[in-house]
Amino acid sequence: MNRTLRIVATGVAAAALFAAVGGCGSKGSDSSTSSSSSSSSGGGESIKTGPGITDKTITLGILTDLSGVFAPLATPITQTNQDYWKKKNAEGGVCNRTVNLITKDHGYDPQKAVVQYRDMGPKVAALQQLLGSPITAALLPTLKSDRMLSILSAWPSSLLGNDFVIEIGAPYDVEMINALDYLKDQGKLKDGDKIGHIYFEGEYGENGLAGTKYWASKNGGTVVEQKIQPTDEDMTGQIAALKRAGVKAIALTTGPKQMASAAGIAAASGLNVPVIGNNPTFDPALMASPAAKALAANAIIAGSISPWTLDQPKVKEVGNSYIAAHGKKNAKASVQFGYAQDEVMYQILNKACENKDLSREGIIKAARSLSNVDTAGLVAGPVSYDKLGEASTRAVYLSKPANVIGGLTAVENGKAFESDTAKSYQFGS
Amino acid sequence: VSKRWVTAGWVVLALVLLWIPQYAEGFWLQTGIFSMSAAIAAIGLTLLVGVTGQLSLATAFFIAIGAYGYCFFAGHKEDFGPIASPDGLGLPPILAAIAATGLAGLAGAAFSPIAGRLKGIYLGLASIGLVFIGQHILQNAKSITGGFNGRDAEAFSIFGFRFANDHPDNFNVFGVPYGQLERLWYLGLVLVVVSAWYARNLLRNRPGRALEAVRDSEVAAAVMGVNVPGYRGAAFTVSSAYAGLAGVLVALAYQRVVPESFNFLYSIDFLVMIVIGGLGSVGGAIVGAVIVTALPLILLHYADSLPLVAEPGAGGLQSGDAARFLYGAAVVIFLIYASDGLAGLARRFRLKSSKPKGSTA
Repeated sequence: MNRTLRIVATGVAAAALFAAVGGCGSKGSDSSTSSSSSSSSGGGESIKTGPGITDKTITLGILTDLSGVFAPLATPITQTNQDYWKKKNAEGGVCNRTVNLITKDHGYDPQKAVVQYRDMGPKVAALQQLLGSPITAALLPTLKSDRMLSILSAWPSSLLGNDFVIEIGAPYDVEMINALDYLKDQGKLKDGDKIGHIYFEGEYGENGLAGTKYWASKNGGTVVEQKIQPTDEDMTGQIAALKRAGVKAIALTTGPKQMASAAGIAAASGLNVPVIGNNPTFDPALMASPAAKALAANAIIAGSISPWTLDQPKVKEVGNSYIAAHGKKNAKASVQFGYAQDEVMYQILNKACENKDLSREGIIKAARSLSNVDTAGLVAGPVSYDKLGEASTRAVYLSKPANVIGGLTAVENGKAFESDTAKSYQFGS
Repeated sequence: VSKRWVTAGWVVLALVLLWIPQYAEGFWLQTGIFSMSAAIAAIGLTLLVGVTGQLSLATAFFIAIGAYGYCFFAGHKEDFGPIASPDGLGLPPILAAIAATGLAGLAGAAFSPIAGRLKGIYLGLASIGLVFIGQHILQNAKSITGGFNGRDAEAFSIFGFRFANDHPDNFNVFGVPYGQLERLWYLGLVLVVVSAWYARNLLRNRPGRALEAVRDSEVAAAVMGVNVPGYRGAAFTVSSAYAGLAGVLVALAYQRVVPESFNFLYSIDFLVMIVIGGLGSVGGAIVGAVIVTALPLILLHYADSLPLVAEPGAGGLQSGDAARFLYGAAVVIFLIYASDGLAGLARRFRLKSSKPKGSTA
């Protein structure tokens, strides 16, 4: 009895202490000032602000993979993001404010990404870069309730219906449709031909496949599907199956290793048909592999981001200043892509500033009012965000692997290519 | 150390845990909730590995069943945009949580013909397959799992009180707004306490002694009248149900579950947890779960300020890599200096301090 009493007494005393300490907890007052919208006077006029915005600064987040499987792609994007804003800040920033970046590395692990986002989320106005399909999928409800504008480092068509998600360039299905139409224009494919499609299980692969299926349905063709895992790197079996089926073209929605394997094995086994790939199937390192010759002869890569060698002053300037700062090691399309992300974010913030609303809602509204933004060739065609559910552009550059910086040269004199089938394609069909 | 001090220590620990949401920011709460869910699954695994002597590498699979099961039982079919959402039964969340835990237990029971016959490392190898089968199902059974897009987890609610940012709206405790994470923190605490209490009761009664007998000597256990395959299968079932309950909390913590969250490496983490904690110890499993889950996240949180770590994106050691190296080093040091885990360390400490002063032994 005595012991029970003592425990109860300790408990009551501690509870009193708990209440006293808890009562002056700092968290409540903190979050009420940082998360609620308030007005501040930047440059003499009143601008509505929100999280990540002060009178002098705008803070943006980068949630990416610098230590996992996608580090080779994400590192140059992140470097370009940082260089861009350093330069922009030196020129006076945006909306009379300097832009700070918080960079977090999730290593392609959804659990780490969710925790890292909790860390950075309250401090940032928008995400300059968000990389990784499973990570994006896992964060989607949180981003939605936080009204967090996020620029994706991916091109899935499944996320186009979310107003807070910004994609730069044509989605994977549209890339494929354009590439197939180009082959048809060149006389390498005709109505009723069989097309082999090797694709990764998951969002990326199935999105690319949807494009091929749509194109085949419009042109009376059939698709021979070969679903693989990202860990499958030898395409011997798949190519043999496609050869037996008598395909007239091979489409790939995979990684670069599968592209090299497929192109090399197809050429060696006498299956001399065009090989087309979505933009993530190519890496300049492939041109140092034994498959280089087969790739240069047969492969066409479709993507909205300009190849390094595109004859546009801005594209060259972005490439050259990257090489000056970081060397040639990571000279891949990620650089131009990163720059395009920054340029779009700059346009969005500028617009929000004009509207005098830098709150999260205001930033999304500004983004969704942009149309026909010219990216000086960095992205094929002007990009628009004013129609929800529509891609920012349906045009792509079609490029051939070659021994040049960045590994790709655009065909058709670097003209942005947008076929009629790609124009009339309905997302989700 | 007198009993009174031990009791006082528990009271203080309980109050600190109850008080944390008053101060902690989202990062710490999210880390804590992930740790709690890991603790529940680790308790289940230590019952299987530490007490029964069976090895399972399928923890991630059963957690996925719990997580997806909860989303399916509690979810509603919604249509948005071009993609149709997966089906759901729309059960009240509390029933959905129980059903999901039961479903994971059933899946464990379905595996028990194998779990009862194989022992030790052989069962471990057989169970690896489940993780890969699980991944395949999660990617392809789209009407239930949502495929690669994953599916949303309905917020938990009980008697109209939602563990989300709304209902009640603007819910304040001592002036601090309690949103989704603060509310889930308390739900997690309750689930961990109930799980630990149940496991301790199980161990201190007949089933616990029977399981230990199976581990120490199959023959002796059989001679004593213990149904060896039966108990092995039962231990696997209980362990799976624990993982299922953990999965429910995982789903609530994520708000949306995706297949990549339940990969093979996730299973390995749980083995590390129970080894660090000390095999067979419920308290050790909890502490081990907190260390293995929280340490990498906290290291990552502070990695930017570590020496030798390069700017993000610049050449050199990245903070993510640095955090991984430190975590690996910590695990190795643990295994060298506390090879019987934290529970063993605590036992040695207790023995030392309870020895009368001046004793020569």
